[in-house]
Amino acid sequence: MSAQKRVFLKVVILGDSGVGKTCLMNQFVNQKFSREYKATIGADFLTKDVVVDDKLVTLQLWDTAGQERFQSLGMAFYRGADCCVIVYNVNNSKSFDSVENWRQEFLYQTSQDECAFPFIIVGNQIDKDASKRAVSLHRALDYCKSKHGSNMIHFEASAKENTNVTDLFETVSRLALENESSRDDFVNDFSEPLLLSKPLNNTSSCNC
Amino acid sequence: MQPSVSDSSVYLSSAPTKPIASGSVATGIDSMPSKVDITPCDLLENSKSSAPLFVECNQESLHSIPGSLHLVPDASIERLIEKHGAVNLLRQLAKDVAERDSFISDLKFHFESREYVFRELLREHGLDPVLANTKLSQRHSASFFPSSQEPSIPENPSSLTGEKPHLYARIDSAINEPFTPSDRLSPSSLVPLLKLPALDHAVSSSSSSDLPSDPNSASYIASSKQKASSLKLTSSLKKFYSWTSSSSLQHTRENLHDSTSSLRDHDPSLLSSSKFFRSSPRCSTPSVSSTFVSATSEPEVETYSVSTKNSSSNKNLRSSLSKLLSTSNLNNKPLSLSSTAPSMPSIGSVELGNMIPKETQPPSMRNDWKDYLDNNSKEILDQFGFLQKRPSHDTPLCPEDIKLNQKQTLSFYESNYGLVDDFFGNELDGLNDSPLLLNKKDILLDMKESTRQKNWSLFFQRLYKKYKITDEDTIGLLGISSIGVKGRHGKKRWHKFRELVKNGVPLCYKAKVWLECSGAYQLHSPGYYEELLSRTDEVESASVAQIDMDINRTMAKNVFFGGKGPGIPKLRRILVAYSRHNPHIGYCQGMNVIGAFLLLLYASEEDAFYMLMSIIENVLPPKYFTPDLMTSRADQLVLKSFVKESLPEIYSHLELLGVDLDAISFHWFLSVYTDTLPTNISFRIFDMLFCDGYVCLFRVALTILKSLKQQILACNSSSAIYSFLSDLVQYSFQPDSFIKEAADRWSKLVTEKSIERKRNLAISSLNLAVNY
Repeated sequence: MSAQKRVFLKVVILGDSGVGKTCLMNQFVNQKFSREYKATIGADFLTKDVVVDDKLVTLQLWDTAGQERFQSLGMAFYRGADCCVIVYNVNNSKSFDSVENWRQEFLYQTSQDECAFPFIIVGNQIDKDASKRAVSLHRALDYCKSKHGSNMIHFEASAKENTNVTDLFETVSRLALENESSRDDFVNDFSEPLLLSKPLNNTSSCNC
Repeated sequence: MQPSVSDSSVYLSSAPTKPIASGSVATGIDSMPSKVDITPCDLLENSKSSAPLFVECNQESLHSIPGSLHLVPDASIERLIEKHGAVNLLRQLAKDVAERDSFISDLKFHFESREYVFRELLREHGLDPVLANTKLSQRHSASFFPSSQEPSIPENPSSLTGEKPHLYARIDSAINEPFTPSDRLSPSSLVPLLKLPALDHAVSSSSSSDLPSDPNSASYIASSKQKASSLKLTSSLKKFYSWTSSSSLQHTRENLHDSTSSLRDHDPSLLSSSKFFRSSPRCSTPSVSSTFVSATSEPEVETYSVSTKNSSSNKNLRSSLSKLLSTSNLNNKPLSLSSTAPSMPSIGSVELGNMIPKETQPPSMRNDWKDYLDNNSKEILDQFGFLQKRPSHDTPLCPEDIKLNQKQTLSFYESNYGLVDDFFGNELDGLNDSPLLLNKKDILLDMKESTRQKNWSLFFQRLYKKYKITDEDTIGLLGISSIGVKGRHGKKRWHKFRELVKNGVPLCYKAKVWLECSGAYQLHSPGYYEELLSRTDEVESASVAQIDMDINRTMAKNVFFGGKGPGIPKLRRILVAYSRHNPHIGYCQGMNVIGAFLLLLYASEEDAFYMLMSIIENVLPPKYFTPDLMTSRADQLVLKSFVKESLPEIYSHLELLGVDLDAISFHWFLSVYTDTLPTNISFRIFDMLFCDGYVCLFRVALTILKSLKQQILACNSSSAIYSFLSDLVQYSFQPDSFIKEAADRWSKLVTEKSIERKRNLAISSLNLAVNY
């Protein structure tokens, strides 16, 4: 392993298309909100240094594409994550229904222990009119409680008005850091890229 | 009530002469193509742009010009019809229009060659063309026109000069001349010649609020058949303007079909005519107007909506008119498009826009193109025009920038490529007064593009010569397919062609070259696009919902898109159409940026649609966008393997830092580099893509990594690499060497064969992983 003094934490942000993943991330990293973000294709990356409990850590945020078919990319993206943020839109019931989906997919693709791995569930866009609300706080909390023993924390936030965003990512950092010790092993476990390219080369040389 | 439906006469008099109050034609960025954004005024405005051509007759009042048939009382017209017969009258008018048109073409040609010489002189003497442009713009546009040296005018200039005293005398004498289908006008040029009249016709008819109720206007065309069809034509044209281009073609067709069964016979030719147009969407709009409008250097020109509408309307009007004409007798005497060749090659069937594909007249076309080039460096385009504005994340262009760029484009450029207008849309309003700047680099690039264009012209010239390709043969194609890849000569030619592509396809050729090289041209089937759009009853919620979510966040920094730009409805339509065309793929993110990118080049939605289709189905390997994204995922592993083989240093550095290259490159591939690299490079990559195929994707990726080697190796954390490589839009690559490298360096190593071999392995390992 390289001798890095800094702690790097990888945080993956999941959720349906259009719930505001990129916005949340940008609000946190750049302190700005814009409606002009482009639709994320594949994944985008942002980093931010934060101090957690007197420790300087670099958060590496992986903003993923929300379209359903991009779930199949999970393996490439989820690898080595220390924490997973799943975002839904409080005004869109379907996006909330998908949360469990995303969670299962993540656990499946990373072979993580369901009880140990930290998830943050975020209901975004609470700035919208209350009448538009489709997912009540109560319902969301119920869902989190229903997953007994799982490591899930729920937030409601607004990327637009910067409500709860800092708190949210502070929690993310803390949970990720707690989880970090397992990361080294994790990284070592996941060496598919190496494996994949080896057989490739071997075979191609055979074919020649 | 003006008898405004008196078609061609309207054109004869009002279009070229009437100085319309100039208001910005810009209809606003909000005005989507689906709305009525061509007001009659716009159209007139549009045609007015050719006004300076007729400086010599400009001074005359509208009323004094013979041929102002639209101004005479209905009764007079009826008398005329009685006297001469509607057919003769119509034919005469059509002929007049044609003649005027060729006159305009002559002038245009003349003007262009002068302008070309002028540019050359400027360059030779090292003068700044922009400075010159500014100065010129301060002078009255009229002074620009070579009124003293008119080019030879068609033998029957009487209708143009307007000296004869009396309208009726003129008409008499004109009609008494035996009508001979003018041999100097090719049949194929004849119909387009009628375009403008038709436009005006539509304009005036829609300006008279309730025209179908006006019997007089219709009575101009005597026979009841014609009456019916003209009425329907007008109404369909009205519809056309109130909605989008394509669907109204159907309206028109249907209407006309209803009115005359005999029309059916002419359908094939109509199809060919519309094909004809389709292939030159960008060339189709008023190039004359652009010439002269821009001579006055008013940057507001026509807005996007106008130009696109016009281009699509060409198709429409052309077909409807040819129908109209064919009904109005001509007994077989072919006005039909498919008939005989022009005996005189050059003259101006160029008509009011480059409606006629270049191939029809190679020499003059080339002149045109050279001129465009001279006057507008492609790089200006690249950097500011549609290229630049694209999805650059971190450097929003300020309006001032846009403005500057717009001003920089000299002369022809703007409106010949509806693009620039497209791009800037209304954003430019009110910005017209900022100072001009042009740096040396731009001039340099300008010259580069000019060289490029010359080379291309030469290439095609030779090709045509070799194959004795005539206008008829090419039907609007460049004829790239005739280059051939087989045989010694074929290979040699193909090699030459590829070299040309490598140096960059000149902007004026791009649209066509892409259409032809990608195979999009072959995919086109008339009416299909409209049909897809008109479907309603499908279950497609998922794709369409996703499209609706994405279109507003595509190319956010581009004025043409950017949340509420005029390109958005177009983009939506092509994406929706594609999702219906191929429900299995539906819509996949990535297609949105590709579509938007194409719309930056193609004024015609339909072309952009077929380009998108062709990219997905011909150019990229299968299963790139399918729900399992199988091939695109596998290709990231293939890329990794290539990196390992040929860039081991970078590979091991990435491995050391634990960077997953596939997470980054996936975006590159799925968007085909349209929003990951500087725009000028993206366009060049597309050039190569259609020439070399998908191998280009890999070669470009390797080139990116290789040319950024130092920077990559300097990164000491995975985060640094991720942020660096995932945001290259601002990175300034050197386009020429970049493309050269991408095209040549890897050509031995990265071939379709090697890719396929690796890909098969990758796919099986992915499948394995899933099962496991």
